[in-house]
Amino acid sequence: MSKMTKIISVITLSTIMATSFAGCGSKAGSAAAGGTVNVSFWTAPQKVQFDYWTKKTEEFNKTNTKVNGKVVKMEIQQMPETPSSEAGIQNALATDSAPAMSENINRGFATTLVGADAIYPLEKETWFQDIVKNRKLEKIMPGWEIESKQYVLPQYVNPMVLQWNTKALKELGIKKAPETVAEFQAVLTKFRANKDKMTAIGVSHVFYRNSLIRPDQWWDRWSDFQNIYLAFSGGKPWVEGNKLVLDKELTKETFEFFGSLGDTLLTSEIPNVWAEEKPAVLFTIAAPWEITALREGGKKYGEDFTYGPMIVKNQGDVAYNFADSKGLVLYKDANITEDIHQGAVAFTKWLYNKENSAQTDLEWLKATKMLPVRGDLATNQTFAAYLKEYPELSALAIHVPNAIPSMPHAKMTPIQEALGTHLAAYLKTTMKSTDNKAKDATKYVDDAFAAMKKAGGLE
Amino acid sequence: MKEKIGNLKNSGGILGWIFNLPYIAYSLIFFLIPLIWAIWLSTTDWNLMSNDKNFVGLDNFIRLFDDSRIIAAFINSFRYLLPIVILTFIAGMIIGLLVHKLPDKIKGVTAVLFFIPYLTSGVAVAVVVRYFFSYNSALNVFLRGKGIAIEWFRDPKFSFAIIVAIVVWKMSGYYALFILSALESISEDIHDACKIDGAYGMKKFIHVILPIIIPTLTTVVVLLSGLAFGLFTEPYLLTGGGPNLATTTWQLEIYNTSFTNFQSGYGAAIAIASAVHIFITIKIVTYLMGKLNNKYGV
Repeated sequence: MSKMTKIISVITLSTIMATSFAGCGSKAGSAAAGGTVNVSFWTAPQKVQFDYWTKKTEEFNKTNTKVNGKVVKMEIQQMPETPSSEAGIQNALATDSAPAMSENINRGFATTLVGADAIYPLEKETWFQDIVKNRKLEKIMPGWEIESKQYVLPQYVNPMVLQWNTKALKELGIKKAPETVAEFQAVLTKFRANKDKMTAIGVSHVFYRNSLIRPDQWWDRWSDFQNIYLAFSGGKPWVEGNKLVLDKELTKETFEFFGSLGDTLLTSEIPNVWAEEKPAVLFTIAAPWEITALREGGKKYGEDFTYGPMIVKNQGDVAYNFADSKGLVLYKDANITEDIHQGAVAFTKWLYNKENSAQTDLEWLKATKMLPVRGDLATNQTFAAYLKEYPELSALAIHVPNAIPSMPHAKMTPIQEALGTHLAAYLKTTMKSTDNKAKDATKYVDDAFAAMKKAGGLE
Repeated sequence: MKEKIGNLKNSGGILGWIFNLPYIAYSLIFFLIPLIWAIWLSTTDWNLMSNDKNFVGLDNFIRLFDDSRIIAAFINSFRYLLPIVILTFIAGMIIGLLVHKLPDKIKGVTAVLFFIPYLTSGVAVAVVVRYFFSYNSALNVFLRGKGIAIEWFRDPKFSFAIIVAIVVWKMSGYYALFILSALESISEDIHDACKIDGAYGMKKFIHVILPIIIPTLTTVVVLLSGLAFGLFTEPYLLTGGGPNLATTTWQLEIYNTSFTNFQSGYGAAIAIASAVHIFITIKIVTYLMGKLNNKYGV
């Protein structure tokens, strides 16, 4: 081989190798360079949240906050949904390209991250304790514990209550949304007795819940099964440590609550039930994030719909409900240096310091219409004017103190899917019934318990 | 010049290696390394996040045999295979033959029209289908008016049939192009010979055309078999694999296990098992089609 050929071969080989491996380098989500610490922050995939955080990070960057003599610069991006936002974080951790911090983390997924030692415990940090004080979170934080520690800084909470069709209730002669099982049964009886009247105004069913028969939509068990269970049980947990502590009798009563709906339960899909001119049902599980869309669709709170509490067993019981709630976490990963971590801490401190915390939360509320997690939401004057403008938000805020987040267990998904499978199987036997008295659910509850123990490796 | 060419030929294969290097690098990066990594992952209980990566040997593979979801995915892959292969093949054949008979002026445009469903996003199709079968859709309002109330996605038969129908609709035009291309490549001499011998219609199709295009049909059947194993978008968006696992697939279970339940080691084991399953099935299909080819092909 001539010298020239050898040279060409080596150059070509090198070029090919270099270009082939160009994309394989570690793409650190955060990097420290010169006098600046770049801190990556992942927002939820929704645009409204991305816009909010863009504004906040820009404001923060203007403060030129320094850690260890370096200016902290926040860099944000939307959480990649590859294929879900949780999987996006999983991929980032696997490839050492995790962000320094992110929002959009619920207690259940945080437990998985804790199991992987991928997030920092916060409860011993002075700055965290200050934030808890500034936002009056003292009574709320125990509900966020994971293995007796705090890993998530709660950000927002949607108390999952019931959304009632006010016009249809009026047509039935009911002035107030039912609160107890007895009142609920009375509504059911009235509905059955006035079916023609209801059909005339476009209401064909009592409750719409497409996902009740979709065990794969495990997250919806929070808003249906867990919601009613929490109200029936006085806020008792589902899993404690590695033990299934769900009360069997109360679980049976919860199954049978849904079973009692019989043929008035609608599970055929309606893409947006409340967008219809005449909603086809008496009530649904509320979706507080749809408040803006409801207003834009001309639906008025109090006229078209009202929020009612979760159904309790007896008058006077506290209506505990599920908290669709997420927060901020700080990640541990090979690409996150101490400077970067401290930069993320500096940003968090700035967001919720004594001077800024209420304003940060108010801006969040205005941008997303989701209630910020604060102990003083109902009493702090910063929020009063806005909550007055949005009576539906005020109605939701009442339920915040009784809202309980998801279970702290790394196998939350298979556990909830296992329960959902047997709940769906039970409902298959009830959905043609015209009787308010539900069929016995004992067998299905027994099966669900066995399946949950197997799926979650629970005792 | 001759000397230079000679040098290239006798350069000990170096240039050959250089020209093959992109493919070797591609195979190494996108096939071999991931494959070895997946095999290693399948022998661990790693969730891709934790620092703990425990070696569990073949436990993940043993677990497959006791997992009702995996058993359902295994059975469903054959349930999908039969109708998808048969119906798409028949529909593709009909489209191919119809387009073949059209005047040359409109043949190309028509073929493209049938090809459009293939280009349509699976997500978009699934969303439209969801609306089409939703409670307040025109179809359901009409049916309820006639006293027929069907919860399409709650019934295992209907939900399965809807998914199969979407795939058949989407893919028929695509495979029709294969068949059309085979039909178009048949020489005019053969058609003329048929005329002379008095072979027309079905007789001509069965005894002349089919034997000629059977190699293409073999390809179509093999590709369709692979397609039936790769279903994800439609069941994911429409049924989530339900009701009662009636529509679940290998791909859906790999996704749920790895990215929803965060059992990546087990997910890798499912992926390897599905790959073996697909490989064996495709081999059987190829073998059977080869036999058919040898017996009836030209």
